Amino acid sequence: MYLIVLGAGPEGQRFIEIALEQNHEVALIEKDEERTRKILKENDIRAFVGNIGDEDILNEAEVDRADAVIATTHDDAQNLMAMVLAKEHKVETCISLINQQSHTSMFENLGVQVISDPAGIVAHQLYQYVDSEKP
Amino acid sequence: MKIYLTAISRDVSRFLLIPIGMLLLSLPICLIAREWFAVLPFLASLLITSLLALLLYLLGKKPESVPTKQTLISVALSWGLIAAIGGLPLWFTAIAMGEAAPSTVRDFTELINALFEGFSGFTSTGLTMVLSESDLPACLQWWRSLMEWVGGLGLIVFAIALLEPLQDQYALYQAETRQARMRLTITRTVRRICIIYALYTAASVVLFRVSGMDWWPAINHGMTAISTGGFSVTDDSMSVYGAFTKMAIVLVMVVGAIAFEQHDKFLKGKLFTLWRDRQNRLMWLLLIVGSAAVAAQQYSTSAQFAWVDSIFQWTSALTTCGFSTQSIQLMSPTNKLLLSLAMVIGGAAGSTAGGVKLSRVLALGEGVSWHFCKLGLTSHQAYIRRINQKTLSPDQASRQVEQAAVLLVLWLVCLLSGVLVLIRLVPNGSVVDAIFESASALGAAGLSSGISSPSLHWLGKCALMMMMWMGRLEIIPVVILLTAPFSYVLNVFGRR
Repeated sequence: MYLIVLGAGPEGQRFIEIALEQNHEVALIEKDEERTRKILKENDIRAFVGNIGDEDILNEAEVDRADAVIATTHDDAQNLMAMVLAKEHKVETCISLINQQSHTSMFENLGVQVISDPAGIVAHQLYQYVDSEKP
Repeated sequence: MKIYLTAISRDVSRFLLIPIGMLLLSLPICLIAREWFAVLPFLASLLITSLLALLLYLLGKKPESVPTKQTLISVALSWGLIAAIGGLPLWFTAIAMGEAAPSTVRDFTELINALFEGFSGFTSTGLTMVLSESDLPACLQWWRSLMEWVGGLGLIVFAIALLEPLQDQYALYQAETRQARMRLTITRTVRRICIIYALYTAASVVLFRVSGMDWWPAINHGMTAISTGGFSVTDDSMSVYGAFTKMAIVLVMVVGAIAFEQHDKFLKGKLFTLWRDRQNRLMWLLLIVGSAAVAAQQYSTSAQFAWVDSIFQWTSALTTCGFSTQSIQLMSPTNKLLLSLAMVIGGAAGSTAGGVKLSRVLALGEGVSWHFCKLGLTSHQAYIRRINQKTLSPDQASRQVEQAAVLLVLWLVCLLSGVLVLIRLVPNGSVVDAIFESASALGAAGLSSGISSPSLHWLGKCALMMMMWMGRLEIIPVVILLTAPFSYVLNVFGRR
């Protein structure tokens, strides 16, 4: 599959590694040049430096043949824009992180798959461990 | 820029300790070989060098700080002076022997021939004025080998390792283009290099002895092979030996052309470094492809495969060692040009080999491929550039490619100038021979198309000496040295 990843934060980075292990083709869009270069050093992927809103950046990444767009930035506005554009290009699978729970309905109205409030998920999980230790 | 003559004088006097040490080391050889006639000439050389060193030391003054440009001048000047001193024992011995001397020794009564031998020795080139090496007295055979052995490793390394540390070690260290730092400090690095060098020399001597040489040739050839020098003690270089011995020599030549950093890793147990490092990989590739090309070319002209000789000649050229098993004169022009190319490329940076070095070839190759890759990039696409496995920022990569390109241009200019001089001086000499000899001198290789001989016009000898000197120091320091007087004069006038 051909996957376009937006954002090279910890989540994006791990996602790229996992996807490459599964022999998928990956392209990265990230606004920080230094971070991009660090990823390129270790992974054989194509990478583009810029914001998702930059003209033509999705076309450069050949969005038309992409099987999925995965937005992983910590900025919901960027993620939302990526989802809107991906839907416009009729990408089959659109997945996004949502950093602030109240934004969830916006994404769901678009009809994309989401992981809402990842920090909350981790926190819940942590709490459960504490809970299970209790007598 | 201000030039401190007193500081240069002090630097040079320190470097002169190297030939003094070498002369002291050679005196016992004269005695062991019972060549009494050579004792006085060696003592005379020793005396002159010592006086010169003392004079320069007294004239000199310890400077407060030294700019890099000035250290480059010191190194270029010292190297030239030491090379000239290398000719003295040959000159004096030839004079001392007088009429009793064999004809090949008598050639050295002309100072220019002795100087040529000194430059060829200390630059570990191997072009020679000797017509029959076996007629030389043992002490002179030894002296030639010792010059190459010391020259091959680089006087600079010896100076840092053994003498009192100079003011700015790192500046001097860079001046002789051995930038790879294997250990924390340069002094320790150099000590490590010297240990590896001594170890490999001893191993080569034993290997040669086992593979069929006598002790004396084994010692001399061991020293000149590991230093990728190329002087021999046998007539017609290595053609007297069998295929097994030749292959042993090929092995040592290749070892000599691998960077010391790599040897260090190898000896610490990282065996695969000899394949993983891109310089080494390029060398293996060139060795295989080149040998095959030379062999094929030889087959097309003489209708027989001479595998051993083809491999030997190509390896000798690429590692800039300069031993030969066949007469180069009999080679086809195509093969001469192929070998010239190998001598221009040379061995790995940080080894004893000359040439523009494989690391620069890698940088240039990256530059070319990058130039074409760039056309296929879209406007937002990010990229990284790698040279010899190191990931570089675009700036760094461009700078490396630029430096390599500049050196290559300088190299070609020198080569062309050399060819233009030689072609006028050699009676019915061909262009190909002139190119071959120039590439050989500039790359510190020492294979000869027959132009280097006592009968060559003095101007041709000077041109070759100049090329050996420039090529070994990678041109730039010598250019700075030669233009320094002009900038000095301009400075003096400017102040008035």
